[in-house]
Amino acid sequence: MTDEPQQPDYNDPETLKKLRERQSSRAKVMGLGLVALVILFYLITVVKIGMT
Amino acid sequence: MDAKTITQAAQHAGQLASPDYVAADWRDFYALTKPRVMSLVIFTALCGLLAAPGDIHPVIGFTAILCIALGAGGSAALNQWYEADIDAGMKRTAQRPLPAGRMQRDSALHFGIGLSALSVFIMGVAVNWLSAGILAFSIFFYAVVYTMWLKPNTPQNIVIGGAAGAFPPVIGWAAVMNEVTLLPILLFALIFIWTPPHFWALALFMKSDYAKVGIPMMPVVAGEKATRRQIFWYSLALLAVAAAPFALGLAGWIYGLPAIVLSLVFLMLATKVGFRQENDPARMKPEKQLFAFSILYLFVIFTVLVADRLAASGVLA
Repeated sequence: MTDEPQQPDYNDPETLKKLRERQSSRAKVMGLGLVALVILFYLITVVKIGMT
Repeated sequence: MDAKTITQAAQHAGQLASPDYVAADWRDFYALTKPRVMSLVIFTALCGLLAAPGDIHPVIGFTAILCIALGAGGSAALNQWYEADIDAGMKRTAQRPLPAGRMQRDSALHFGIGLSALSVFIMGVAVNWLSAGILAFSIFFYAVVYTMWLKPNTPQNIVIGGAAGAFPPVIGWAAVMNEVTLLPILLFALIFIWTPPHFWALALFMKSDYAKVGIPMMPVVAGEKATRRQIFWYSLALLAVAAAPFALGLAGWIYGLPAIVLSLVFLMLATKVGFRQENDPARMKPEKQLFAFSILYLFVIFTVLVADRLAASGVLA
């Protein structure tokens, strides 16, 4: 039913290039997510302090 | 292959990566959260939040909705992690990231657990622990009770599992009020009763897909005739539940009139489906109409409820 785990050939320049592109785009999205969380936590803190 | 064998195979499979797999794209992680389902979750949660007769700071309100969305995304990822093999066998789901081989199973599991835990934690710290507790329970209910236990084992899967999708307006309400009263319970009941006719209408014209992967959906197990009758009875109950907020004085005419009219249209479509005989999916126009209308129904009924509550509180005056 399921495929056996596949190991890509990272010695292949095309595969390596594709891997780096994916890693780069994922890192950028993760970075944006973290920045958004930092801003959100900052705003929550300001609001919570204001409430007390 | 029966459902149990499929789920066992899914449990023991390490990953489903295809031969040309390199690394999952961020879009695959996004797809894992079932964005279309999430939009309905966000909408009903927002309606619960706006219908609550209390004040919430916009930043805290935004955080509550964000947490509900993240929780829904996390539980959807866990659902797809567990059901990867079943998804692979159905045309409708075969192109999801896991069955299509664009992502490793462990990545989906870690992503689902991480997103779920983060959503509950932020909700508890920033909003309140009652809404965080209900959110945690709803994630557990969808990912474990529904996905792992009910869905592969009983044709009542949709009936009981529908509760998982009914929590968002309750969480939205609890985020504002820090308590749960009768109106959010009625909103819960509305989605709970709406879910079976909505899904069974889909299951009628997707029956072969579900049968192929061994999921005991009602039309597969109890037959089409019994499913059609059930659709009718649930739609009748839906009319009563939808009218209840108005009848009990919890909502006014702005909600009451459209809710009753829409529920009568729903019942009319369900009656058409409930008392006909048709086995050919290609000729199931009334079933497709009911399915499409059921989505519109939920959006409109929640919208008019919010309009009614805002009008009552003077916001729309």
